[in-house]
Amino acid sequence: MPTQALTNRTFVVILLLVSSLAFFAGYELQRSPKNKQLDTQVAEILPKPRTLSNFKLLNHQQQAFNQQSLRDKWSLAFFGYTNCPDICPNTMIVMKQFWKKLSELNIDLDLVQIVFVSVDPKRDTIGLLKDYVSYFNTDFIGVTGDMSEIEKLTQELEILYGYEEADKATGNYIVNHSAQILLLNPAAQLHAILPPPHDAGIITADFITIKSHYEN
Amino acid sequence: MKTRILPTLLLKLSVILSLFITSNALHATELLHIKKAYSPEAPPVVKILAGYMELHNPTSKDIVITGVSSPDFEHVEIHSMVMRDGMMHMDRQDTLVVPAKGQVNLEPGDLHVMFINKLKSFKDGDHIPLTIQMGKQSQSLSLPVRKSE
Repeated sequence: MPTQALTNRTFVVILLLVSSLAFFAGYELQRSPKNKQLDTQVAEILPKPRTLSNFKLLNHQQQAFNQQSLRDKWSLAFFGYTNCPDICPNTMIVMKQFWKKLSELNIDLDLVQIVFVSVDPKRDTIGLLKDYVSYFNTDFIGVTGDMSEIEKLTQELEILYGYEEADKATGNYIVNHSAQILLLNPAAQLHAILPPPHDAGIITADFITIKSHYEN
Repeated sequence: MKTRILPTLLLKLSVILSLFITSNALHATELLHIKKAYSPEAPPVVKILAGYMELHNPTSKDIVITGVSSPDFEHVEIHSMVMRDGMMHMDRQDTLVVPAKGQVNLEPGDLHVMFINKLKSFKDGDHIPLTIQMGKQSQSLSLPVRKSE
């Protein structure tokens, strides 16, 4: 009887050991780098970065801005219009603060770009865009172009916009638009989405988390 | 000497007194207590500016704002900002209620004054005049233009 009891006890101990080992092994496997969920504050990382088809737009220097322009750099892109009184200038101020934080952290600014894409090409001429983006920072890039190309790019990036009827007295019209900042990786793929409201400190922290993870 | 000082003193006193009375009289017509009013400086090419402020209603009755205007803009409106169908929508508010003993904040990403088509340029340190209409009553203020860093 005692021997039988001992065997039973040994069996239970072994069973416990094996099951806990299996549990931890499974747990470790789940949080292996490949599947590990990145600990970001607001950034929604795409399960699989999205490759974009080519597009043909122009930057504020009248140069081509296409898929190639997004390569070998991290890009933070925002879509809006210069006559936007609130969300666009406020986001540009956040971008300006983000830029300053990156430089304070000694991050190579040549490997990052801030892109403001106009979804109101009718009013936002290249000259106007140039003055607009340079006001915030001379390194920022203003982008515009043919409506069809803007449509193509925004569709792939799931950026929405729509025009309201022009005011009869002033001729001014409002453009409703998405307010997320898009983060594109150096392979020119959509990598993460930063939803509003925007905060420079949070964006900086999330950007560094995502960038370091990507580089490793 | 004494006879010279007295009239000057009296004059000064009357000026101070009249100023005091005038400011009190003006204050009496101010229904709202407006705090932290400002307009962020915008790129010079931009014709549309925003205005933010805190509207406090110290009275025991709701105050209804029925319009806003500025001589330096073609048109002024109050707009709300709401996320709808994945887009930020700005909706014009024909009226805005500041509840009795309550407050309404106009702030970035939310309610704001929208100054449409400027008639002159504004930079950091300038002031934008604004008149708030509340039915038959009105109240004026000036919003300092501030550059955001």
